[in-house]
Amino acid sequence: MKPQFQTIAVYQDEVATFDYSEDVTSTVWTPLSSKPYVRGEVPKSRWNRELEEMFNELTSLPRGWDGYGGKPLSFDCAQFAAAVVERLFISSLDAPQLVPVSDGSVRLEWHQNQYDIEIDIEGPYEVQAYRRNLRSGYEEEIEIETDFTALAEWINDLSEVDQVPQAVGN
Amino acid sequence: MNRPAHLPDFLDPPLDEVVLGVQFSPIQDYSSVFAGNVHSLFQSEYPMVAEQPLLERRFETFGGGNVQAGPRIQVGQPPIGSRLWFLSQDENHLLQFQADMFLSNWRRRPNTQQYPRFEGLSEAFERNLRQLEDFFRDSFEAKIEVNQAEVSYINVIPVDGFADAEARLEVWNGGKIDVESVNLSFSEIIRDKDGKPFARLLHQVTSVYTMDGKERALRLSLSFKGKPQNDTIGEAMDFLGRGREAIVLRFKEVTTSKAHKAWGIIE
Repeated sequence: MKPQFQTIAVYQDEVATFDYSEDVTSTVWTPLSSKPYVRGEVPKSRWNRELEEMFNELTSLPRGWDGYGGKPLSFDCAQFAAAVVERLFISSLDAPQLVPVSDGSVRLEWHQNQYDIEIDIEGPYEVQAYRRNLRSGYEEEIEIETDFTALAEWINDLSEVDQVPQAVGN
Repeated sequence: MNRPAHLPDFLDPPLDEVVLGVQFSPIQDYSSVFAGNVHSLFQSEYPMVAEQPLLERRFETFGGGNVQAGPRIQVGQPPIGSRLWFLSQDENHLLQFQADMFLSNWRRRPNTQQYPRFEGLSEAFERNLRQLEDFFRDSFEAKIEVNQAEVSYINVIPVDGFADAEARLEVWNGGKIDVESVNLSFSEIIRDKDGKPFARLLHQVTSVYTMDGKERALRLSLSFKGKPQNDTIGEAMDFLGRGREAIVLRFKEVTTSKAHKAWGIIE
């Protein structure tokens, strides 16, 4: 018979847990007991820390919040939006504005450095993004499921501060 | 379903646990009051029940500069409810259910039950998942819309000391260090034929001990996660099949030929 090792398993999403039992044997591997456990802290980006309260407010909106039967931001959508925010994070840029949409989805918006960027998170893996360059008037739209590479480039462009030539004095 | 001929095979692999799972859009109108009905679907094979904390939802996304992104992010009100474990009598098989996830685990236990191989697990998982969908359709006029799937293989590889890891793992060279513990993880992006990323394969090696602390082992976990092509159960099963293939091929690559011989590789 093979020896039984202390293993965490059951689901890969579960972080290693700490068992308070004195014999310090298994971790999650105590199937029928319900011992307390501690989850590891996972750091969030500054954007998500700043937006956390707003996400909470939007998911708690009352039905009809817009006077027309608007739904609160769905939990599903909010979690995916937070994952997108985390992936797009650039430390030199401010967090996006969160705008609730009446169907329970959410929009992320930036309006700065001569760009408008609007990202509609309609649900998990259902993302429509729009960008307008205010200097040239050029508009672009992309649809995204899982790969945010193109959108990250937009955000990178947004973070590049205009290099306005300095007037040379006499 | 037959095992693909090109996959490496072993007579005595160090496999300890296999997990197949899907995450889906929460079913409208489902609440904990229906948990007993869900258990009754599987009760004949999984008579024992245990309650566990909810698993948090995960979404695999790609691109962007924040490559460390991906850990759990919880927003909004804390989710209500619990995750249920349905255990087989021998405890080798486990189903896990919560309102937006369904998982199936095979676990090595101190008994003589043989590993039923991926083909057997996969067929049973699909059958159970379709049974759950039938229940949702009959009770709530809802279907399961899969948005993420996962397959994981967890291996437990006994070693005399953790410095011996290099005799088992190609990805480890401890030199002359008297290694006390190991915690190594890395991930790779899996792309489709057009180069589009669709899944992530996570490799993790950690040191583990037997209950009495006398024996040591390396826990090698390979986990394939991502979004199936569409939200149907059929596509989710295809995704799991691709994941299994990627894991088994990688398992052979990240372990040494010396270890392969010890596990009885079938040439």
